[in-house]
Amino acid sequence: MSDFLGGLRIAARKTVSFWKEASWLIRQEKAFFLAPLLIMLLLLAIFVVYFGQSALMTFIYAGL
Amino acid sequence: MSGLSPRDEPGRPRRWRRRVVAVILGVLASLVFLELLVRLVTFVHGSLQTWGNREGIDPDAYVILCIGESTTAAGGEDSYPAQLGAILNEHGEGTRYRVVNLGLHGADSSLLMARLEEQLGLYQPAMVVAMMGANDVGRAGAIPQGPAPMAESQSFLDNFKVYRLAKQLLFELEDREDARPGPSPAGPPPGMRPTGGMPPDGGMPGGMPGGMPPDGGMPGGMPPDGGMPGGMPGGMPGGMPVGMPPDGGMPGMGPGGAMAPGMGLFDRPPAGPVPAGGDAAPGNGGALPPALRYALPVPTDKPPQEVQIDLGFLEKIPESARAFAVLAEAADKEGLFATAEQFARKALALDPNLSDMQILYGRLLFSRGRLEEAEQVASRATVAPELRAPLLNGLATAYRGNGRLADARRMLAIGCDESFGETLRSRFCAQLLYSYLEAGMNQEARELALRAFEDRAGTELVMSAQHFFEQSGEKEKAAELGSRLHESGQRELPPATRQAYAFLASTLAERGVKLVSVQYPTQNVAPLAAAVAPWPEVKVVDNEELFLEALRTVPYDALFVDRCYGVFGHATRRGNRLLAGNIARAILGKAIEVKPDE
Repeated sequence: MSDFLGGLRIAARKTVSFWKEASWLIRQEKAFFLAPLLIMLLLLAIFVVYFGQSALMTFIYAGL
Repeated sequence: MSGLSPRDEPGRPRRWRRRVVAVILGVLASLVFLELLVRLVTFVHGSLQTWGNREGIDPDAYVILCIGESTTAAGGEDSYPAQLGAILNEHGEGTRYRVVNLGLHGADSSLLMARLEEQLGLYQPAMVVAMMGANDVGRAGAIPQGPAPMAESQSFLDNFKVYRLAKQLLFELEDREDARPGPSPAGPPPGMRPTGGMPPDGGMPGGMPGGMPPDGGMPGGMPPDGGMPGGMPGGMPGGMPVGMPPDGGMPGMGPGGAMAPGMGLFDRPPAGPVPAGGDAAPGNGGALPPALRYALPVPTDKPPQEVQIDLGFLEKIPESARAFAVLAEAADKEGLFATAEQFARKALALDPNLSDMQILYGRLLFSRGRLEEAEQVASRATVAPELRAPLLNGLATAYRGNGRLADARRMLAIGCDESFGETLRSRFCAQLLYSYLEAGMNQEARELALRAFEDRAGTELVMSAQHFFEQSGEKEKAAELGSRLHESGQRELPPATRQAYAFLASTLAERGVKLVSVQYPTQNVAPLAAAVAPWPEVKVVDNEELFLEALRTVPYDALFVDRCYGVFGHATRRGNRLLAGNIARAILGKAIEVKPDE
């Protein structure tokens, strides 16, 4: 259990760190167009986690 | 800060403008990326499927296409098409058969027909085997005439896959919300139609991973319903263009001849083409329950742009109610709604009993947001109940669209108590039951559900009540209603299924392709035989007695993996072998012995 929580903490820390870095990069490089792309990727990731395998089917049916 | 150009100095509005532009470009790029991604996924999936299906087809092979929903699609090598191919090649006396499984999980017959032209062109089959309609329960849509008209029915936004993806996601999220356990029964279990649909997990053993969308419906599958959304009274343009349904009812209309598409209880709106005036109408958004979402156009704030016409000529025509009625109908057809309303009002002033004007006037009123006036018209209307029903239904929809749920329930309650025919009244009651559940009015819902045990309760009320009792743990009542549903299902095919078979038979007859129509296991073949009766060359496969006989000797689980269609479900390998053997006998026209595959 503690391993799991530890892993979760690390994952959370890395995620936060990633977003901090990403936002820093966007501001530093003035690449503001990247912000929506990153947000979209984040939403996609949440979507895949939330829906699991059926996420793929959602894409397929949307494209039919 | 020396690196900053003068333009980038803090406080300069241009800097913010550039950022905003960059973000907008980023949003556009995201949408383009997503659009491409969806198209790519679909393309890859479609290509793999087509490649798998076309693999091994040689020009001399006798190609048979099997179309249907998950009962056809699922199972891989255990599916009935796969086993049919093996049986035919074993008993075919030298003819090489190639059976292509074109089953599509969760597809209703409209979607299958929409894909027909493309599939016929792709595979050039000599024969089509169709077993479809299980997902048509609650749908009464007309059949699209191939891809072209379907495309015409789509809104502009539906051309973008990303838009359809967004809609699909919203529906899935809604389903997830619906699926959450609550203190009270909240409609049907997600992913299941009342008497059909997919298992809750959306898939089945051996089927497609992850299964289909929880709604059991297919995006892109909604046919242009032709007539007025939600079933405006008879005579509305559109409907089924391939001839009258075999029951002689109005094209595009539901059973009973009045209420039409969109009334399907628990019917999930697909992410595909949107029926005109349906979801695209402002205010007709996520607040509407599935059963009502496509019922009728919701009032719009902006009246349509109208051409100003000089009505001076009216002074020259006699004061004839019928003349004004004709003018009103003509104006309505041309989209001149304000003018049509004037004419209708005038016609009714001259003759208040003009039933078609009562309906037209009421529809014009509520479609322009004047709901109370429309309600007055509905209450005064002296027309036949079957013609008043669309008004009540439309008002219920419009009230819902405006968040006036109590008023919507009031309209549904009127419809539920009206002296309509069994089918119409049942649809109102079913929607009312759903509304009660939605509002947490469980006692009222239960009282209404108990009415399903009355003699003339109607199929839709029985379906909704069955799910109510299922969800509330009253299994015995649910089972009793389930058996009643089975009996009623034996009597008739859903209108959409009848229309699909008629479309399929006529299309294939034109192309010289043979058709074998297969009734589902344990189901009476008579309704299907009646649907294809105008095409005597069509072979009909009866699976009722065969399966009932088999079920006398083997347990249900030996033949079916679930009961998602009530009295039958997705077949096991053994069940599919039984099915395939029976179809093979019909195709070969001779008795063959098919060894049961234990």
